[in-house]
Amino acid sequence: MNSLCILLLAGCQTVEADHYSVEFLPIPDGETLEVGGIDFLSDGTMLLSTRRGRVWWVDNAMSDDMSQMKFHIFAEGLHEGLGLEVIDDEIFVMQRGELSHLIDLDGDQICDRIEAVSQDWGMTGNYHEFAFGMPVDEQGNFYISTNVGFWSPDWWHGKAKAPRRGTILKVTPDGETTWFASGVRSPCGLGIDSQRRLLYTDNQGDWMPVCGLFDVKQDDFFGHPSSLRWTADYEFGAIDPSTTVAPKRQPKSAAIWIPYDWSRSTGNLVHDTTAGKFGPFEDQLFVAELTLGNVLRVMLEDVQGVTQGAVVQFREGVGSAIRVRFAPDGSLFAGLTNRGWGGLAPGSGVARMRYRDVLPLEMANISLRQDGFVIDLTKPVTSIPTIEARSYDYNYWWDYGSPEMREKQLDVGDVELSDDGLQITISNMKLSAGRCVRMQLFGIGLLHDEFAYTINQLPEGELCSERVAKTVAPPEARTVAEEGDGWLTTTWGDPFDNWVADGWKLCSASLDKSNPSRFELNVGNSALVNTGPNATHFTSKDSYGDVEFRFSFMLPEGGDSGLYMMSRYELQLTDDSSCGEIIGSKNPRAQAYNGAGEWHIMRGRFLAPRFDADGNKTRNARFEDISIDYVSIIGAAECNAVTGGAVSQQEVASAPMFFQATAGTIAIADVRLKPLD
Amino acid sequence: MISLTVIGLLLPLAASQEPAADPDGQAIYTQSCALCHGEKGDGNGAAKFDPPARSFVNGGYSFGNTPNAVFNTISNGIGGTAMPAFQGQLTEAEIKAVATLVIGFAPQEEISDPLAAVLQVSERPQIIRGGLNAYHKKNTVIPRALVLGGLDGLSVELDTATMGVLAFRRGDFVQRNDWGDRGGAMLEPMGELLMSNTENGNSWGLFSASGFRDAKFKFVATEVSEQKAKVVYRIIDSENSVEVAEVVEYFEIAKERYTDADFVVNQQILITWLAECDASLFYGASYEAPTGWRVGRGLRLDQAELGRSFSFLYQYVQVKETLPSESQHSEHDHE
Repeated sequence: MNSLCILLLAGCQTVEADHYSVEFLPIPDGETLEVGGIDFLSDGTMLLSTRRGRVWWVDNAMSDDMSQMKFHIFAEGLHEGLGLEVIDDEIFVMQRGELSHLIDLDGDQICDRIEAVSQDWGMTGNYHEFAFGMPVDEQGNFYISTNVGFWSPDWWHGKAKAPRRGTILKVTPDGETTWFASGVRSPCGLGIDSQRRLLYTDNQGDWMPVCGLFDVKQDDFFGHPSSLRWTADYEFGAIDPSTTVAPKRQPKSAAIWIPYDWSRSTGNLVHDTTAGKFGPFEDQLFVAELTLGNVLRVMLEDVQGVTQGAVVQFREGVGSAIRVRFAPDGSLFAGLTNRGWGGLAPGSGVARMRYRDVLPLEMANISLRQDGFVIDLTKPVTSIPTIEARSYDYNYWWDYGSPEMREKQLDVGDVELSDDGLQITISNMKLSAGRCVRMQLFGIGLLHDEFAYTINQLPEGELCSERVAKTVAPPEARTVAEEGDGWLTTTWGDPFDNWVADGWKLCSASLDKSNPSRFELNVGNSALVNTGPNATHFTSKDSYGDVEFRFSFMLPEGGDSGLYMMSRYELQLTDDSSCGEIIGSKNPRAQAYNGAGEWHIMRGRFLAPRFDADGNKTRNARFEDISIDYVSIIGAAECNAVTGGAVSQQEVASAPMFFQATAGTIAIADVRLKPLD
Repeated sequence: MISLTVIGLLLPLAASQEPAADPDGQAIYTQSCALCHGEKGDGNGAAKFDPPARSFVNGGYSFGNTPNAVFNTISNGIGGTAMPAFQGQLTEAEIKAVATLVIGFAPQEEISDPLAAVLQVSERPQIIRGGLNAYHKKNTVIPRALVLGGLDGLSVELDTATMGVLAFRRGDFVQRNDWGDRGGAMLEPMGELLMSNTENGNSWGLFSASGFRDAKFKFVATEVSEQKAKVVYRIIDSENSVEVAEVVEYFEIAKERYTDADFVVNQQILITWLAECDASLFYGASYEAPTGWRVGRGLRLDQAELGRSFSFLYQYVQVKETLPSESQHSEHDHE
């Protein structure tokens, strides 16, 4: 890159490849290197452990001329190799069942002796009992992690059927292996950062709302209940922890919850030790991501003794990266594998990333304030960015991951740019601990203009005990009492006291067996059904703004109706998988509707749009926490505008609600409302 | 006219083959999957979810991208997400057809040729670590096993938890089934099975000791040297948690001929004493020979001096069918 180009780049939006190259190493013909570990000998030799149980010896891995690279097999016959560490030129590999020391006795660059450092954790033989490793602390202790197993048919409930599964273990140099931390699910990556913190990454699934990065201390518990089976809490194996009810032990919060759109399967992490050879991010963390094939960058800080921070995207197009490691020359190598999971191509081999010595405009550091953020830039800008921000949290539950829950748009208070153009200070924001903030800074040409910050604690005030991943009722719990507490039972007694509904019958209803697209109606008081084409909408006499709602409904085959909040915003009630959709906004994330002829309970919360004194809308209408039969289907859904079939296009602060009568037949019952304003 | 003739020729053939109507994966996908996953499998269906429906185009499958894994995911759904279970709604053949189609959306990985997962012993002995299916009980696995492959074609399967012999084979070596799918599958030893531990859960060839009959074994290392595949382990007096001795052993097909035997495996053992112990140590004393074989009936090892090494030979003799089984053949020599 010559200086002219640099000048040209300085003035315009650049792309990742302008600053960091990605090259793929020439793998020997006919070989597939499913890399699970990378490290370097002091002479620059690269060693790769693979899922096929080999260790490859690579000469000249840092050569500019890739044809100079030479590969040969150093060790064969290992039981996977999902971690490799070189300590004083001694080679250690993490196998599925053994942490091993690989020794070349005669100097021919072929391993002759493999010593077992530790085999001291349980295995049942389940396919998913991976073991990962393994950073080394200053005393020479290894840290390894053990995956929970998955058994059919309910394979989304990870289990620890053997001792020490779902844990992080500490292994002394002489092999003594002790329980270090627990509650991990799929702990694919471990690393020690510049502050000597042990960190690990976990993968989204049961009890892990999204992929997370955790600060690990002795005896921490991270939330997946299965490993607790082997603790006193569950009598050391005598009792199985529930797969659906949260354990009593409180999980430690993630230092970073990585947004789902940035990571689906997180690998390991390394910190930048290159003293500038890899660009302006000294000491920061680089995190491998397998499914999306990218590398993320993480900035951690200590806030009131709690580790937390921000994650940004760094480089895409790396391939299915599960491992990253810095080479002595400051290149960042990524080991790739996607067999069995899928991930961005290439799905095997090795990528090499290099800094092109062209400084990108990036957020160099992001630091939390009580009421905002301080963002350092890698180079000066001349204008203040336009900023959008929202906050959200997650559910901690057995479900496979969690949507972003309880989402809120955040007002960005004051934005200042320092005189030297290198620092943006955002203040006067209303921030809360126990939330994530996603913020985007437009209009100043940032290479990556968005970050996600996990606020476990604010810099001042009392420590917050609320975690970002909130313990919520498990989806199948069906014993929630909604009576009392301000709930209006609007259809008890005479339902037509509270509702205007021509052509609706109070009756009992069941599916007409001869024609399941209709109901058979009988004398009773368990259902309200619209009968005939002239039925009007089932419309509340009162107006409602913010309101919690709960009602039962049943549809015939092909049934089609909807609940129009404020007569404007439709929650879809149809006999198909879109039941529960917020029209024009969000579809259900879970299939909870069980089909025609079945009664269902729909619950949720509606928040009316907000207006300022001049009548200008300041916040959109929104639905939250929608569930069918207690299965969460929508975390939050915003309505930018009214939906089709609304009584008016004009948005207002409160209005009657109705169940639609004109599209098809529906039976409703037990409509309860709890006004919130 | 020509085309008519061709049809006339083909019809009887087709009729005789009674072709089963293969399910149309594309049609089923369009009907049952495309709404969420998109016509092209890119996750851009009409239905929007949080988190979004899986895009198959970038790969990335919740529970694996192998035909079996995708079949299972379609059959059973994914608990707690919008992905429903199609078992019952679609036939097995239909689910398979959809699974094949869905896998086809992803970037095509290099499919490893099953033969490429076969390891053979060529210039130097091999030692493979992995899981093995147990011989003595169905649906039981030995999660940490070793398969030693010698230059003479003998392969020996060992359990590292007990350091006992699970089987002898001769011929081809090992197929690594764990190179397929998501990994974790058991190894498949390929040689002709000569002897296997089918009669009880114990492995043969263990040490026992009068003072601590519950001697435990700690696997230490494998080593390929002098063209031998060796294993190293320690004998522990479990009562006193003392490492009593270190054992280095390897196996080979005996070159000697025996008039009454088809086949003899030599187990060459070198013991080094590490600690004083009150007990006398026996080798193979408590084990019955498997049918058709005889083994050393138990070698009593005298209490030895610390640090002293002691080598001896233990033999597994496959007895000729015509002869009655005996149980006597062992020898030892002091160094």
